[in-house]
Amino acid sequence: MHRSCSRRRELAGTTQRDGCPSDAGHKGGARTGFRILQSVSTDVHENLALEDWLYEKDDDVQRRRRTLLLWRNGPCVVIGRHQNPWAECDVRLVRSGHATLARRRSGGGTVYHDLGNVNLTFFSSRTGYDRASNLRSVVSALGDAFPRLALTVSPRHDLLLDGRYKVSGTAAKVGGKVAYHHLTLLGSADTIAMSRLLKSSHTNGLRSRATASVPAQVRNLCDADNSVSCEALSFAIARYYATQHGGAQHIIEMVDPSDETTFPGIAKLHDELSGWEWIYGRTPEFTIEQEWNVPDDGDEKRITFCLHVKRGQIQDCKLHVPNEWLPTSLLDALIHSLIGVPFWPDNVFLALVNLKDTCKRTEEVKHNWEIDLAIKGIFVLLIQLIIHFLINYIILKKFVRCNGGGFGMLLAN
Amino acid sequence: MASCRVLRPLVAAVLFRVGAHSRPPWNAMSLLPSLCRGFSTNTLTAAARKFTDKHEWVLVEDGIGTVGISHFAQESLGDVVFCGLPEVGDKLHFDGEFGALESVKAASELYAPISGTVQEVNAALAENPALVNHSCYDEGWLIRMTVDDLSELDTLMDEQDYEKFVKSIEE
Repeated sequence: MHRSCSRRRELAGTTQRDGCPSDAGHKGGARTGFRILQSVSTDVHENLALEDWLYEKDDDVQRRRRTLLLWRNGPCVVIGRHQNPWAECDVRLVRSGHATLARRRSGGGTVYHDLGNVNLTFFSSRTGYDRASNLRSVVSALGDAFPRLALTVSPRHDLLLDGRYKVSGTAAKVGGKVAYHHLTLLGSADTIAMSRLLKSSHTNGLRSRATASVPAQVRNLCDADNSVSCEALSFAIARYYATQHGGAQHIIEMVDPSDETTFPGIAKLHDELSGWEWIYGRTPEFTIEQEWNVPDDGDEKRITFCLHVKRGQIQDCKLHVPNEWLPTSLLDALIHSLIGVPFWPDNVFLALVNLKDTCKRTEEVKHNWEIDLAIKGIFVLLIQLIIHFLINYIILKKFVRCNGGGFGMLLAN
Repeated sequence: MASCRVLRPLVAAVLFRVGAHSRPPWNAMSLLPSLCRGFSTNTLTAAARKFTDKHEWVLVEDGIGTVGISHFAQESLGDVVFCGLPEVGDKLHFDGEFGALESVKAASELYAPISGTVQEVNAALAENPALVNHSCYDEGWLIRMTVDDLSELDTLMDEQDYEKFVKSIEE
């Protein structure tokens, strides 16, 4: 039995009770055919773990009690279950701490979240799973609360503002008995950050059969109606959901996904979801090919580098450098040192540095500068990417200023 | 193979016993194609396929179970765009999750109809996941696996029972 301790808030009024009620809305007269939960966490991995826990372990969900979970995250990029992070977002920017990267258990494409975005998860039985119906409910709820918002449901199950701008992305996980449908709602998210992050750092040269996102033009709801806030969106949806399922008065239960006592086993789910193996290692196999020119005595020489990655590990590696740069034995040593290594820039770079050290020790190569040039080549590539990013960023900023609104391009499903 | 030869008559005996209670014996017979040679095959092959209530099917031939999803399941899913399948050598447990099929925005879990070890994964699905839609009982098979416990098959539905089950859902 899921005993939700923590705070409960009377939705209809301002009452907020602290403590741990014994029934937490589950027993006796308080029990209804539905329940509304809201996470107090803004950590994407904690919130995804909560979703997982409810899906797998919550008695009420297992007994097909309709459940709505409301949650928000700090800046993060969330990719679909079968997606490739290198194809979907700027992994370098993510790694530099601009956002957290998460892989969810549901299908669909990549979305950006921050505190200006509300997420809803509708839990239901497998047979009761109905995305279109959930989306219609959201449209009705927001139509009641914000009459100025003209929202429609697209055939792809996106929510469109003014028939044009995407304000919500949908995805689902369907199990044997239980299913959930979750969606985002752009209230006042940072669309500049979204555009920067959802730009692949490997637009060229990456070949993969992973699910690809479908880009769409997005807009925040607050741009169409400035009374929209995330709190107001949550309130409107919760109120409509309760009314729809026969609740006259209802309660939003505040839940803390870091509370192992309330959610036994949730820490393990969190560790799995936040680990490298799940986020990067579960990427469907792919090939990445890069080539770049390196100056050489007034001339340019071409280096090509091709990696085949499966389950996050380098399975095969092909590296072509001019013959006079690197002897075959060293080239083989470099390739050998990369195979079986997790695909992560640090590892690739480390392999090159190790090789250079080996060369120094064995004096196998008299001209170590040759290796330096190979490393320099990688830096050249990085610098090119940074310049590329800066140009895009400046153009986008100007574009947004000119149009006076906060919309950019979202790579989403 | 020697062990298979020993097992088959035993399995047949068990299946006949099950058949006597709940299912026509020809259903049970059809699980062992080698014993069915000489009979007309089409009906028997179709009947040999066993179904779970989660809409996976398994067809056991020569000790190897081929697993896929039913027509009803593929229709419910819509266009499959990615097949998340296990690796050869992975051990699957009866009714345990073993992967997911992604259709438009939804990841639908797959559940093992029997326990065993994955022997082969349908490589054609990597290139063309839509085979699951176009040919769910043939080219769109998902995995081939060993059969740890033949008695698990007895808990599954034959085609006729499965059809009734699907009708009950649709109603």
